[in-house]
Amino acid sequence: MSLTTPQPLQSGPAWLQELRQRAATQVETLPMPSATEELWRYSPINDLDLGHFHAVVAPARGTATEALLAQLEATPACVISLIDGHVVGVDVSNLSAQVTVTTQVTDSTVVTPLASAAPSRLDALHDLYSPQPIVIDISPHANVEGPIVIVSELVEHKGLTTPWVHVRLGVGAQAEVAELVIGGGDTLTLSTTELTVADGAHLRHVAVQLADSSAWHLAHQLATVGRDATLESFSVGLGAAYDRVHTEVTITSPGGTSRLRSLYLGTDHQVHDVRTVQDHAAPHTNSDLLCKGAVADSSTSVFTGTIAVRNGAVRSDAVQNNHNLVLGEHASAESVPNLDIHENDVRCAHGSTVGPVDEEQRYYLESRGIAPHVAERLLVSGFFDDALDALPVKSVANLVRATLKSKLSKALNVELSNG
Amino acid sequence: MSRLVVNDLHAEVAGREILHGISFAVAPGEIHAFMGPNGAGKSTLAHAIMGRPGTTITKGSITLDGVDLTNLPAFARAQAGLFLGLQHPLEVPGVRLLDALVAALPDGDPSAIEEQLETAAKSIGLNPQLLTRALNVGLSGGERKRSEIVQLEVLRSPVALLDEIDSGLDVDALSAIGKHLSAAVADPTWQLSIVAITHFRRLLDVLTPDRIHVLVDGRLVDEGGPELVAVLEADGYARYRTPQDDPFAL
Repeated sequence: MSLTTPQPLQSGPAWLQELRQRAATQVETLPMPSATEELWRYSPINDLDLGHFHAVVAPARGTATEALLAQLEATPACVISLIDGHVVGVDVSNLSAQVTVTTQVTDSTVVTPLASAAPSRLDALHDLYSPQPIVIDISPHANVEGPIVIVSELVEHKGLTTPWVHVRLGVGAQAEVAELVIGGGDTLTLSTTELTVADGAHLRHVAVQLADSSAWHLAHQLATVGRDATLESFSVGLGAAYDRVHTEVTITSPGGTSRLRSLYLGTDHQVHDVRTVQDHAAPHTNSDLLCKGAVADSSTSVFTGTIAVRNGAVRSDAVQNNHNLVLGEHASAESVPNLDIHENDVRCAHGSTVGPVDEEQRYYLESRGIAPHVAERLLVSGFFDDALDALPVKSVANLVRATLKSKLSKALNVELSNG
Repeated sequence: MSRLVVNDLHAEVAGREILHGISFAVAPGEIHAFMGPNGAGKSTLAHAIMGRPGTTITKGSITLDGVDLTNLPAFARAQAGLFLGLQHPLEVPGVRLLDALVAALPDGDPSAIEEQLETAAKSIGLNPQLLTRALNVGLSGGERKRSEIVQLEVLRSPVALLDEIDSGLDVDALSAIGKHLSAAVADPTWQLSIVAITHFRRLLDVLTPDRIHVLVDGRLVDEGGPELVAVLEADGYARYRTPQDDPFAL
């Protein structure tokens, strides 16, 4: 099923089929994104050839999910396994009654069609080919033990994968959610994750993208944070040829807090692209973003972060920091902060750095007899470790650290045994 | 027999010559103090010997136990036996002290290194809990200086270049550091040699120097025994300077 001649999937409830009918038209009418648009500036989106990919009708068998899950350091509350975007398993053996996973969604209002501020053909393609939205509900005041894990394995060559997940925390609930992506040689993923954090709830969320280095992986995260609620969300981008994470968090009520963290390491010709919006829609709201990345070889990265403070959102407190290490002569990093402030009585701070490893720190380590390439690896690992200490889902820490370490050793050409 | 030999050392920073021919020799277990006014080139001397990038040796040589270090990069000089205690030990976020030392001693047993580190820290009055933190992150000035000595004790380098190790220390910390360094110098299995750069007499009260060198305007202008300290304290450095060297003399 070629993406250039859209044909709606025939499965699922009536509302979904209607939504797909609309999306089929929108695929024709909405424009492809272009690197001339601010939202896609510095991205390789002009190189995306949709004709190269096709929708996956029936998923093949996965091979990597089990080994990936074995690396988690806690027993998951439940595991939802996707192959090429199709749900192939929901393991609820450890699931308490406080969590409900729905894969046959009957309520058409629980997902947001064309979930983008400026919808493009890619958003329509996502809606058109998403086989089944997954809704995860956590009961009010529940405190879920162990992470809720969603593994998305990419298998089919030239396949399009379009996961659609909505996590809803009830009032006062607490939960951890981990989204893991693996596999994906020569694939295209357009994923949408919606996070709704009700009043007084606390969601700890991680998205770990470990796709094959030939994959296109475009993730879109949309979150709303209620009164006195907290969202902690941490994105790790280590895989894909083009790794894009577009995160928009709207804090809708006073006392709401959003803590966003992003981390990426680019090697070869990878492009890591992090777009964020910290949207303060109510007074007395807090947001804090830290994005740390390193680019080696000929890789590049883009960070564009917007702090928006709407009319009436007085006493908003927003912080945004982006730090980039440039490790290769041919590597480069773009860092673009944007402020869209409509109130005076607010505190907004942003900072950004782009550059090589600190010369003084390196000399300090070398004066202890540490060889320059080992010193460099220690410093770059340290740069990431500093951020990884704040992983909101601790049970993925070893997986992330191990993958990062092996990738870093390759990037810096250092044996793993050193240090 | 001399261990560290610096011969006719000329060094420049940013294209400007700071050291104009420095020569001295330090034997095992000797303490040499280098004193001088601000801007004399004392820190440059330490960094030129250590091999800081940007401090270029244009003439002369540095040898350690007969091995020529002059053209080696900093890490190779450190591996050959030099240690530099920094005036302002900097924070290295995310890099634990233990990991740095394990990387510095690739042939060492990491658990043995950890044990030595803990023992050394306790003995100098540094809370071992601080060792689990990233290098110098959140440490006070005094704690950082103690940590430098702890690192030296784990590495057991034969020669320590100490750049104002006494600055920012309270009396207790100064005395603890002096005691540890003196013990390393006296230890027959170590015989630490020290090149101590300092402004003040107070370090030399706790660490008795064998020789005092006076560095003014990039040249060694005087040399003597410990008695020279009192003379310098009374008279200052003015008598060593020619009028054209002194920017304040008109």
